[in-house]
Amino acid sequence: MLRFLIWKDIVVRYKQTVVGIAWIVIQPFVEMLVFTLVFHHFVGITSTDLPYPVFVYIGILVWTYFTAAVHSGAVSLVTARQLLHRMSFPRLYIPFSSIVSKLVDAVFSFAVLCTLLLWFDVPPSITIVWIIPLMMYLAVFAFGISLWLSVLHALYHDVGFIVPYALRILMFLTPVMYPITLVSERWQWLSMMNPVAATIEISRAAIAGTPIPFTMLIVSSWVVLFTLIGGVALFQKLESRFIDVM
Amino acid sequence: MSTPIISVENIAKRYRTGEHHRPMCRSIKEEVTHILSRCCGRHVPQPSREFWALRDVSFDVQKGEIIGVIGRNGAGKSTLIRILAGVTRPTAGQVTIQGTVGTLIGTGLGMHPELNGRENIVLSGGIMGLQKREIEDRLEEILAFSELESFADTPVKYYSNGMHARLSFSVSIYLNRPEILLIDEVLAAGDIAFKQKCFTKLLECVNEGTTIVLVTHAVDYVRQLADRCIYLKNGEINCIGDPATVAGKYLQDAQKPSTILQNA
Repeated sequence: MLRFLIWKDIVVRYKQTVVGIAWIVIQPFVEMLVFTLVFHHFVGITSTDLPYPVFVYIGILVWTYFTAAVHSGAVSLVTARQLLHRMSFPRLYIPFSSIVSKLVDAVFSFAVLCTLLLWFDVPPSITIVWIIPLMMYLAVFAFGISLWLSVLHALYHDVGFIVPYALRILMFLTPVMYPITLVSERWQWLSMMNPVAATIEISRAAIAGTPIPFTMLIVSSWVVLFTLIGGVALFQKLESRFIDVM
Repeated sequence: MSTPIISVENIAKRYRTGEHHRPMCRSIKEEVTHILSRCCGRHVPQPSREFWALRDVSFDVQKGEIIGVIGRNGAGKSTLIRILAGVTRPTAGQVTIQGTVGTLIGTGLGMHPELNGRENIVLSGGIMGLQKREIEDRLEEILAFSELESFADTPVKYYSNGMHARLSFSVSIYLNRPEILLIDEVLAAGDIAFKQKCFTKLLECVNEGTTIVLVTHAVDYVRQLADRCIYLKNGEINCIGDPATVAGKYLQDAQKPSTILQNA
Protein backbone atom coordinates (compact mmCIF):
# COMPACT_ATOMS: atom_id res chain seq x y z
CA MET A 1 0.00 0.00 0.00
CA LEU A 2 2.79 2.36 0.95
CA ARG A 3 4.36 1.80 -2.46
CA PHE A 4 1.20 2.82 -4.23
CA LEU A 5 0.78 5.95 -2.16
CA ILE A 6 4.30 7.03 -3.09
CA TRP A 7 3.73 6.11 -6.72
CA LYS A 8 0.57 8.19 -6.78
CA ASP A 9 2.32 11.25 -5.37
CA ILE A 10 5.04 11.00 -7.97
CA VAL A 11 2.84 10.34 -11.00
CA VAL A 12 0.39 13.07 -10.10
CA ARG A 13 3.17 15.56 -9.58
CA TYR A 14 4.70 14.98 -12.98
CA LYS A 15 1.38 14.86 -14.78
CA GLN A 16 0.16 18.20 -13.58
CA THR A 17 3.00 20.21 -15.01
CA VAL A 18 3.45 20.54 -18.73
CA VAL A 19 7.20 20.78 -18.62
CA GLY A 20 7.34 17.98 -16.05
CA ILE A 21 10.86 16.98 -15.21
CA ALA A 22 12.35 20.00 -16.94
CA TRP A 23 10.66 22.19 -14.39
CA ILE A 24 12.30 20.37 -11.50
CA VAL A 25 15.67 20.84 -13.14
CA ILE A 26 15.25 24.46 -14.19
CA GLN A 27 14.06 25.73 -10.82
CA PRO A 28 17.19 25.11 -8.75
CA PHE A 29 19.37 25.93 -11.73
CA VAL A 30 17.93 29.42 -12.06
CA GLU A 31 18.17 29.85 -8.31
CA MET A 32 21.81 28.92 -8.54
CA LEU A 33 22.41 31.58 -11.21
CA VAL A 34 20.65 34.24 -9.14
CA PHE A 35 22.41 33.32 -5.92
CA THR A 36 25.77 33.31 -7.64
CA LEU A 37 25.11 36.74 -9.10
CA VAL A 38 23.79 38.27 -5.88
CA PHE A 39 25.78 36.61 -3.12
CA HIS A 40 29.02 35.92 -4.95
CA HIS A 41 29.38 38.86 -7.33
CA PHE A 42 27.38 41.56 -5.51
CA VAL A 43 27.89 40.70 -1.85
CA GLY A 44 31.24 39.00 -2.30
CA ILE A 45 30.76 35.75 -0.43
CA THR A 46 33.41 33.25 -1.45
CA SER A 47 33.73 29.53 -1.03
CA THR A 48 37.01 27.80 -0.35
CA ASP A 49 37.09 24.32 -1.80
CA LEU A 50 34.52 24.43 -4.57
CA PRO A 51 33.61 26.99 -7.24
CA TYR A 52 30.83 29.15 -5.83
CA PRO A 53 28.14 27.99 -8.30
CA VAL A 54 28.75 24.36 -7.39
CA PHE A 55 28.99 25.28 -3.72
CA VAL A 56 25.68 27.13 -3.72
CA TYR A 57 23.97 24.53 -5.89
CA ILE A 58 24.60 21.81 -3.30
CA GLY A 59 22.99 24.07 -0.72
CA ILE A 60 20.02 24.68 -2.99
CA LEU A 61 19.60 21.00 -3.80
CA VAL A 62 19.48 20.02 -0.15
CA TRP A 63 17.36 22.94 0.87
CA THR A 64 14.87 22.48 -1.96
CA TYR A 65 14.32 18.89 -0.95
CA PHE A 66 13.91 19.84 2.67
CA THR A 67 11.31 22.56 2.05
CA ALA A 68 9.39 20.51 -0.47
CA ALA A 69 9.29 17.54 1.87
CA VAL A 70 8.29 19.49 4.97
CA HIS A 71 5.74 21.45 3.04
CA SER A 72 3.98 18.47 1.53
CA GLY A 73 4.39 16.49 4.72
CA ALA A 74 2.72 19.21 6.76
CA VAL A 75 -0.40 19.32 4.63
CA SER A 76 -0.40 15.60 3.83
CA LEU A 77 -2.99 14.53 6.38
CA VAL A 78 -5.47 17.22 5.41
CA THR A 79 -4.93 16.43 1.73
CA ALA A 80 -5.53 12.75 2.31
CA ARG A 81 -8.56 13.18 4.55
CA GLN A 82 -10.89 11.48 2.09
CA LEU A 83 -8.80 8.37 2.25
CA LEU A 84 -8.36 8.64 6.00
CA HIS A 85 -12.11 8.86 6.47
CA ARG A 86 -12.75 5.71 4.49
CA MET A 87 -10.19 3.22 5.44
CA SER A 88 -8.31 2.22 8.48
CA PHE A 89 -4.59 1.84 7.89
CA PRO A 90 -1.44 3.07 9.61
CA ARG A 91 -1.87 6.80 9.29
CA LEU A 92 1.86 7.34 9.49
CA TYR A 93 1.96 6.16 5.88
CA ILE A 94 0.55 9.43 4.70
CA PRO A 95 3.31 11.83 5.80
CA PHE A 96 5.87 9.13 5.09
CA SER A 97 4.89 8.69 1.47
CA SER A 98 4.95 12.41 0.79
CA ILE A 99 8.48 12.67 2.20
CA VAL A 100 9.74 9.77 0.13
CA SER A 101 8.11 10.83 -3.12
CA LYS A 102 9.90 14.15 -2.96
CA LEU A 103 13.22 12.34 -3.08
CA VAL A 104 12.63 11.78 -6.79
CA ASP A 105 13.01 15.49 -7.42
CA ALA A 106 16.31 15.41 -5.59
CA VAL A 107 17.56 12.68 -7.92
CA PHE A 108 16.97 14.91 -10.95
CA SER A 109 18.64 17.83 -9.23
CA PHE A 110 21.57 15.57 -8.51
CA ALA A 111 21.94 14.87 -12.22
CA VAL A 112 22.29 18.60 -12.75
CA LEU A 113 24.90 18.71 -10.02
CA CYS A 114 26.95 16.12 -11.87
CA THR A 115 26.74 18.23 -15.03
CA LEU A 116 27.91 21.25 -13.06
CA LEU A 117 30.86 19.32 -11.71
CA LEU A 118 31.88 18.44 -15.26
CA TRP A 119 31.35 21.99 -16.47
CA PHE A 120 33.53 23.49 -13.75
CA ASP A 121 36.03 20.70 -14.12
CA VAL A 122 35.75 19.59 -10.53
CA PRO A 123 36.96 16.02 -10.20
CA PRO A 124 34.39 14.58 -7.80
CA SER A 125 35.89 12.78 -4.86
CA ILE A 126 34.79 9.19 -4.30
CA THR A 127 33.23 10.39 -1.06
CA ILE A 128 30.42 11.84 -3.20
CA VAL A 129 28.50 8.66 -2.40
CA TRP A 130 28.04 10.16 1.05
CA ILE A 131 25.27 12.23 -0.42
CA ILE A 132 22.95 9.21 -0.45
CA PRO A 133 23.01 8.45 3.29
CA LEU A 134 23.00 12.17 3.93
CA MET A 135 19.77 12.65 2.00
CA MET A 136 18.28 9.72 3.92
CA TYR A 137 19.33 11.42 7.11
CA LEU A 138 17.64 14.60 6.00
CA ALA A 139 14.54 12.68 4.95
CA VAL A 140 14.28 11.25 8.46
CA PHE A 141 14.48 14.74 9.89
CA ALA A 142 11.88 16.02 7.42
CA PHE A 143 9.65 13.09 8.40
CA GLY A 144 10.01 13.91 12.10
CA ILE A 145 9.09 17.53 11.50
CA SER A 146 6.22 16.54 9.22
CA LEU A 147 4.73 14.41 11.96
CA TRP A 148 4.55 17.42 14.24
CA LEU A 149 3.32 19.76 11.57
CA SER A 150 0.79 17.47 9.92
CA VAL A 151 -0.97 16.75 13.20
CA LEU A 152 -0.93 20.39 14.20
CA HIS A 153 -2.16 21.36 10.76
CA ALA A 154 -5.07 18.97 11.07
CA LEU A 155 -6.01 20.54 14.40
CA TYR A 156 -5.12 24.15 13.65
CA HIS A 157 -5.33 25.34 10.13
CA ASP A 158 -3.11 28.33 10.92
CA VAL A 159 -0.13 26.02 10.59
CA GLY A 160 -0.64 26.04 6.84
CA PHE A 161 0.18 29.75 6.78
CA ILE A 162 3.05 29.60 9.23
CA VAL A 163 5.02 26.79 7.62
CA PRO A 164 6.15 28.56 4.41
CA TYR A 165 7.04 31.64 6.42
CA ALA A 166 9.02 29.72 9.02
CA LEU A 167 10.84 27.84 6.29
CA ARG A 168 11.89 31.05 4.62
CA ILE A 169 13.32 32.39 7.84
CA LEU A 170 15.08 29.11 8.49
CA MET A 171 16.70 29.31 5.07
CA PHE A 172 18.65 32.39 6.09
CA LEU A 173 19.77 30.67 9.26
CA THR A 174 21.04 27.72 7.25
CA PRO A 175 24.31 27.94 5.34
CA VAL A 176 22.75 27.63 1.91
CA MET A 177 24.37 30.63 0.25
CA TYR A 178 27.28 31.08 2.67
CA PRO A 179 29.79 28.65 4.16
CA ILE A 180 29.37 27.75 7.81
CA THR A 181 32.82 29.17 8.50
CA LEU A 182 31.26 32.59 8.01
CA VAL A 183 29.12 32.08 11.09
CA SER A 184 30.77 33.70 14.10
CA GLU A 185 32.24 31.55 16.84
CA ARG A 186 29.44 32.59 19.22
CA TRP A 187 26.68 31.21 17.02
CA GLN A 188 28.42 28.15 15.65
CA TRP A 189 26.60 25.88 18.13
CA LEU A 190 23.28 26.91 16.65
CA SER A 191 24.37 25.89 13.16
CA MET A 192 25.81 22.68 14.56
CA MET A 193 22.39 21.71 15.85
CA ASN A 194 20.73 22.29 12.50
CA PRO A 195 20.43 18.97 10.66
CA VAL A 196 19.91 20.76 7.35
CA ALA A 197 23.13 22.69 7.86
CA ALA A 198 24.91 19.45 8.67
CA THR A 199 23.60 17.81 5.50
CA ILE A 200 24.68 20.73 3.34
CA GLU A 201 28.11 21.16 4.88
CA ILE A 202 28.93 17.48 4.87
CA SER A 203 27.75 17.10 1.27
CA ARG A 204 30.04 19.93 0.26
CA ALA A 205 32.98 18.41 2.09
CA ALA A 206 32.22 15.01 0.61
CA ILE A 207 32.14 16.36 -2.94
CA ALA A 208 35.22 18.51 -2.51
CA GLY A 209 37.03 15.65 -0.82
CA THR A 210 37.90 17.67 2.27
CA PRO A 211 37.67 16.18 5.78
CA ILE A 212 34.08 15.54 6.79
CA PRO A 213 32.89 17.52 9.84
CA PHE A 214 31.58 14.60 11.84
CA THR A 215 30.85 16.66 14.94
CA MET A 216 28.05 18.39 13.05
CA LEU A 217 26.53 15.04 12.22
CA ILE A 218 26.71 13.81 15.80
CA VAL A 219 25.35 16.99 17.36
CA SER A 220 22.53 17.39 14.87
CA SER A 221 21.53 13.74 14.95
CA TRP A 222 20.37 14.28 18.52
CA VAL A 223 18.05 16.94 17.21
CA VAL A 224 16.80 14.54 14.55
CA LEU A 225 16.27 11.82 17.11
CA PHE A 226 14.27 13.99 19.47
CA THR A 227 12.21 15.46 16.65
CA LEU A 228 11.36 11.99 15.42
CA ILE A 229 10.53 10.47 18.80
CA GLY A 230 8.50 13.51 19.80
CA GLY A 231 6.74 13.47 16.44
CA VAL A 232 5.78 9.82 16.66
CA ALA A 233 4.57 10.28 20.24
CA LEU A 234 2.48 13.30 19.35
CA PHE A 235 1.10 11.61 16.28
CA GLN A 236 0.00 8.57 18.22
CA LYS A 237 -1.43 10.59 21.06
CA LEU A 238 -3.57 12.77 18.84
CA GLU A 239 -4.33 10.19 16.19
CA SER A 240 -7.84 9.45 17.37
CA ARG A 241 -8.56 13.12 17.86
CA PHE A 242 -7.53 14.65 14.58
CA ILE A 243 -9.45 12.16 12.52
CA ASP A 244 -12.72 13.49 13.96
CA VAL A 245 -11.99 17.14 13.43
CA MET A 246 -10.44 17.08 9.99
CA MET B 1 -26.41 -19.37 17.10
CA SER B 2 -22.78 -19.17 16.02
CA THR B 3 -20.58 -16.32 17.16
CA PRO B 4 -21.44 -13.17 15.25
CA ILE B 5 -18.96 -11.75 12.74
CA ILE B 6 -19.74 -8.23 13.90
CA SER B 7 -20.71 -7.56 17.46
CA VAL B 8 -21.59 -4.04 18.51
CA GLU B 9 -22.16 -3.43 22.20
CA ASN B 10 -23.61 -0.20 23.51
CA ILE B 11 -21.51 2.06 21.35
CA ALA B 12 -21.83 5.80 21.52
CA LYS B 13 -20.07 8.53 19.64
CA ARG B 14 -19.85 12.09 20.80
CA TYR B 15 -18.83 15.01 18.66
CA ARG B 16 -18.34 18.48 20.00
CA THR B 17 -19.96 21.19 18.04
CA GLY B 18 -18.35 24.43 18.93
CA GLU B 19 -17.83 27.72 17.20
CA HIS B 20 -17.33 27.66 13.40
CA HIS B 21 -19.10 24.29 13.34
CA ARG B 22 -15.62 22.90 13.40
CA PRO B 23 -15.64 20.74 16.49
CA MET B 24 -12.59 21.18 18.66
CA CYS B 25 -10.81 22.80 15.80
CA ARG B 26 -9.86 26.21 17.05
CA SER B 27 -7.46 28.63 15.54
CA ILE B 28 -4.29 29.24 17.51
CA LYS B 29 -5.51 32.71 18.43
CA GLU B 30 -8.60 31.29 20.03
CA GLU B 31 -6.57 28.64 21.76
CA VAL B 32 -4.21 31.26 23.20
CA THR B 33 -7.06 33.44 24.44
CA HIS B 34 -8.64 30.36 25.90
CA ILE B 35 -5.48 29.40 27.77
CA LEU B 36 -4.90 32.97 28.91
CA SER B 37 -8.38 33.40 30.28
CA ARG B 38 -7.96 30.11 32.06
CA CYS B 39 -4.68 31.21 33.63
CA CYS B 40 -6.17 34.50 34.79
CA GLY B 41 -8.92 32.55 36.46
CA ARG B 42 -11.51 34.23 34.32
CA HIS B 43 -12.35 31.05 32.59
CA VAL B 44 -15.69 31.30 30.94
CA PRO B 45 -17.05 27.90 30.05
CA GLN B 46 -16.97 27.50 26.29
CA PRO B 47 -20.33 27.31 24.65
CA SER B 48 -19.29 24.01 23.17
CA ARG B 49 -22.30 21.80 22.77
CA GLU B 50 -22.15 18.10 22.66
CA PHE B 51 -23.70 16.14 19.93
CA TRP B 52 -24.23 12.45 20.28
CA ALA B 53 -24.09 11.00 16.80
CA LEU B 54 -24.74 7.55 18.22
CA ARG B 55 -26.14 6.49 21.56
CA ASP B 56 -26.35 3.06 23.06
CA VAL B 57 -26.32 1.16 19.80
CA SER B 58 -26.04 -2.62 20.02
CA PHE B 59 -26.52 -5.31 17.44
CA ASP B 60 -24.95 -8.45 16.06
CA VAL B 61 -24.40 -9.47 12.47
CA GLN B 62 -24.01 -13.08 11.45
CA LYS B 63 -21.68 -14.26 8.73
CA GLY B 64 -23.15 -14.04 5.25
CA GLU B 65 -25.91 -11.68 6.26
CA ILE B 66 -26.89 -8.53 4.42
CA ILE B 67 -27.93 -5.94 6.91
CA GLY B 68 -29.51 -2.69 5.81
CA VAL B 69 -29.17 0.54 7.75
CA ILE B 70 -31.70 3.26 7.08
CA GLY B 71 -32.54 6.54 8.72
CA ARG B 72 -32.80 10.23 8.03
CA ASN B 73 -29.81 12.49 7.37
CA GLY B 74 -27.82 12.92 10.54
CA ALA B 75 -29.24 9.82 12.17
CA GLY B 76 -25.74 8.43 12.62
CA LYS B 77 -25.53 6.01 9.72
CA SER B 78 -22.22 7.22 8.38
CA THR B 79 -20.74 7.49 11.85
CA LEU B 80 -21.71 3.88 12.41
CA ILE B 81 -20.00 2.84 9.19
CA ARG B 82 -16.88 4.78 10.12
CA ILE B 83 -16.71 3.08 13.47
CA LEU B 84 -17.16 -0.33 11.90
CA ALA B 85 -14.45 0.50 9.38
CA GLY B 86 -12.12 1.36 12.24
CA VAL B 87 -11.62 4.88 10.96
CA THR B 88 -12.80 6.46 14.17
CA ARG B 89 -13.20 5.09 17.65
CA PRO B 90 -16.46 5.11 19.57
CA THR B 91 -16.60 7.34 22.63
CA ALA B 92 -18.04 4.46 24.59
CA GLY B 93 -18.91 0.83 24.00
CA GLN B 94 -17.20 -1.92 22.13
CA VAL B 95 -17.08 -3.26 18.61
CA THR B 96 -15.76 -6.74 17.93
CA ILE B 97 -15.14 -7.71 14.34
CA GLN B 98 -13.91 -11.10 13.23
CA GLY B 99 -12.58 -10.69 9.75
CA THR B 100 -11.25 -8.29 7.20
CA VAL B 101 -13.23 -5.17 6.50
CA GLY B 102 -13.55 -3.38 3.18
CA THR B 103 -15.38 -0.15 2.58
CA LEU B 104 -17.29 1.21 -0.33
CA ILE B 105 -17.98 4.75 0.68
CA GLY B 106 -18.72 7.52 -1.76
CA THR B 107 -16.16 7.82 -4.52
CA GLY B 108 -13.29 5.41 -4.95
CA LEU B 109 -10.51 4.93 -2.49
CA GLY B 110 -7.79 7.45 -3.06
CA MET B 111 -8.85 8.09 -6.63
CA HIS B 112 -7.10 11.01 -8.15
CA PRO B 113 -8.78 13.29 -10.71
CA GLU B 114 -5.61 13.78 -12.75
CA LEU B 115 -5.06 10.09 -13.31
CA ASN B 116 -6.97 8.13 -15.91
CA GLY B 117 -9.37 5.28 -15.29
CA ARG B 118 -6.80 2.55 -15.72
CA GLU B 119 -4.28 4.20 -13.41
CA ASN B 120 -6.92 4.81 -10.80
CA ILE B 121 -7.89 1.15 -10.79
CA VAL B 122 -4.28 0.18 -10.17
CA LEU B 123 -3.96 2.85 -7.51
CA SER B 124 -7.11 1.86 -5.64
CA GLY B 125 -6.13 -1.77 -5.76
CA GLY B 126 -2.72 -0.94 -4.43
CA ILE B 127 -4.18 1.02 -1.58
CA MET B 128 -6.36 -1.96 -0.75
CA GLY B 129 -3.17 -3.94 -0.47
CA LEU B 130 -3.16 -5.94 -3.70
CA GLN B 131 -0.15 -6.75 -5.82
CA LYS B 132 0.22 -5.03 -9.16
CA ARG B 133 -0.04 -8.37 -10.95
CA GLU B 134 -3.34 -9.26 -9.36
CA ILE B 135 -4.79 -5.90 -10.29
CA GLU B 136 -3.63 -6.04 -13.88
CA ASP B 137 -5.12 -9.48 -14.25
CA ARG B 138 -8.54 -8.12 -13.40
CA LEU B 139 -8.20 -4.74 -15.09
CA GLU B 140 -10.10 -5.55 -18.26
CA GLU B 141 -12.81 -7.30 -16.30
CA ILE B 142 -13.30 -4.19 -14.17
CA LEU B 143 -13.44 -1.90 -17.18
CA ALA B 144 -15.95 -4.19 -18.82
CA PHE B 145 -18.16 -4.31 -15.74
CA SER B 146 -18.11 -0.56 -15.36
CA GLU B 147 -18.79 -0.14 -19.10
CA LEU B 148 -15.96 2.36 -19.27
CA GLU B 149 -13.65 0.65 -21.77
CA SER B 150 -13.69 3.60 -24.14
CA PHE B 151 -12.83 6.03 -21.34
CA ALA B 152 -10.07 4.00 -19.73
CA ASP B 153 -7.41 6.50 -20.76
CA THR B 154 -9.38 9.63 -19.92
CA PRO B 155 -8.46 11.40 -16.69
CA VAL B 156 -11.11 10.78 -14.08
CA LYS B 157 -11.70 14.52 -13.67
CA TYR B 158 -13.59 14.48 -16.95
CA TYR B 159 -15.88 11.67 -15.83
CA SER B 160 -19.52 12.32 -15.07
CA ASN B 161 -20.91 11.47 -11.64
CA GLY B 162 -22.39 8.28 -12.94
CA MET B 163 -19.16 7.18 -14.57
CA HIS B 164 -17.28 7.96 -11.42
CA ALA B 165 -19.66 5.92 -9.31
CA ARG B 166 -19.54 3.03 -11.74
CA LEU B 167 -15.78 2.95 -11.70
CA SER B 168 -15.63 3.14 -7.90
CA PHE B 169 -18.13 0.40 -7.45
CA SER B 170 -16.52 -1.91 -9.99
CA VAL B 171 -13.10 -1.42 -8.49
CA SER B 172 -14.29 -2.15 -5.01
CA ILE B 173 -16.33 -5.17 -5.89
CA TYR B 174 -13.66 -6.77 -8.03
CA LEU B 175 -10.54 -5.95 -6.11
CA ASN B 176 -11.81 -5.73 -2.60
CA ARG B 177 -12.72 -9.16 -1.36
CA PRO B 178 -13.07 -8.61 2.33
CA GLU B 179 -15.08 -10.79 4.63
CA ILE B 180 -17.14 -7.80 5.61
CA LEU B 181 -18.13 -5.16 3.10
CA LEU B 182 -19.40 -1.81 4.33
CA ILE B 183 -21.36 0.12 1.75
CA ASP B 184 -22.43 3.70 2.27
CA GLU B 185 -24.73 5.14 -0.33
CA VAL B 186 -22.79 4.26 -3.43
CA LEU B 187 -25.61 2.80 -5.40
CA ALA B 188 -27.30 6.18 -5.63
CA ALA B 189 -25.62 7.10 -8.90
CA GLY B 190 -25.74 4.87 -11.92
CA ASP B 191 -28.77 3.84 -13.92
CA ILE B 192 -31.20 1.04 -13.19
CA ALA B 193 -29.48 -1.48 -15.43
CA PHE B 194 -26.16 -0.88 -13.73
CA LYS B 195 -27.74 -1.10 -10.31
CA GLN B 196 -29.24 -4.45 -11.14
CA LYS B 197 -25.82 -5.61 -12.24
CA CYS B 198 -24.38 -4.42 -8.92
CA PHE B 199 -27.05 -6.26 -6.96
CA THR B 200 -26.32 -9.46 -8.79
CA LYS B 201 -22.65 -9.02 -8.08
CA LEU B 202 -23.28 -8.28 -4.42
CA LEU B 203 -25.46 -11.35 -4.03
CA GLU B 204 -22.71 -13.37 -5.68
CA CYS B 205 -20.31 -12.10 -3.01
CA VAL B 206 -22.75 -13.00 -0.28
CA ASN B 207 -23.03 -16.51 -1.66
CA GLU B 208 -19.29 -16.73 -1.36
CA GLY B 209 -19.60 -15.82 2.30
CA THR B 210 -19.23 -12.05 2.39
CA THR B 211 -21.17 -10.15 5.00
CA ILE B 212 -22.58 -6.81 3.92
CA VAL B 213 -23.63 -3.75 5.86
CA LEU B 214 -25.53 -1.53 3.49
CA VAL B 215 -26.33 2.07 4.35
CA THR B 216 -28.78 3.72 2.03
CA HIS B 217 -31.70 6.07 1.65
CA ALA B 218 -33.21 3.87 -0.99
CA VAL B 219 -35.62 1.83 1.07
CA ASP B 220 -36.51 -0.31 -1.90
CA TYR B 221 -33.01 -1.75 -2.10
CA VAL B 222 -33.11 -2.66 1.53
CA ARG B 223 -36.39 -4.46 1.05
CA GLN B 224 -35.00 -6.19 -1.99
CA LEU B 225 -31.57 -7.15 -0.67
CA ALA B 226 -31.34 -7.13 3.08
CA ASP B 227 -31.95 -10.03 5.44
CA ARG B 228 -32.42 -7.68 8.34
CA CYS B 229 -32.65 -3.96 8.71
CA ILE B 230 -31.74 -1.35 11.31
CA TYR B 231 -33.62 1.90 11.52
CA LEU B 232 -31.51 4.61 13.14
CA LYS B 233 -33.27 7.63 14.53
CA ASN B 234 -31.34 10.47 16.17
CA GLY B 235 -28.43 8.20 16.91
CA GLU B 236 -30.44 5.43 18.49
CA ILE B 237 -31.79 2.21 17.13
CA ASN B 238 -35.47 2.78 16.62
CA CYS B 239 -36.16 -0.72 15.48
CA ILE B 240 -34.36 -3.68 14.07
CA GLY B 241 -35.60 -6.76 12.29
CA ASP B 242 -37.45 -7.79 9.16
CA PRO B 243 -36.67 -5.31 6.34
CA ALA B 244 -40.25 -4.88 5.21
CA THR B 245 -41.50 -4.07 8.71
CA VAL B 246 -38.60 -1.77 9.58
CA ALA B 247 -38.76 0.02 6.25
CA GLY B 248 -42.48 0.45 6.74
CA LYS B 249 -41.90 2.06 10.11
CA TYR B 250 -39.28 4.38 8.62
CA LEU B 251 -41.55 5.46 5.81
CA GLN B 252 -44.37 6.03 8.25
CA ASP B 253 -42.12 8.28 10.36
CA ALA B 254 -40.98 10.12 7.26
CA GLN B 255 -44.58 10.92 6.39
CA LYS B 256 -45.26 12.65 9.69
CA PRO B 257 -43.39 15.96 9.30
CA SER B 258 -44.90 16.55 5.90
CA THR B 259 -48.43 16.08 7.21
CA ILE B 260 -47.73 18.59 9.97
CA LEU B 261 -46.55 21.04 7.35
CA GLN B 262 -49.68 20.51 5.37
CA ASN B 263 -51.84 21.13 8.39
CA ALA B 264 -50.09 24.37 9.26
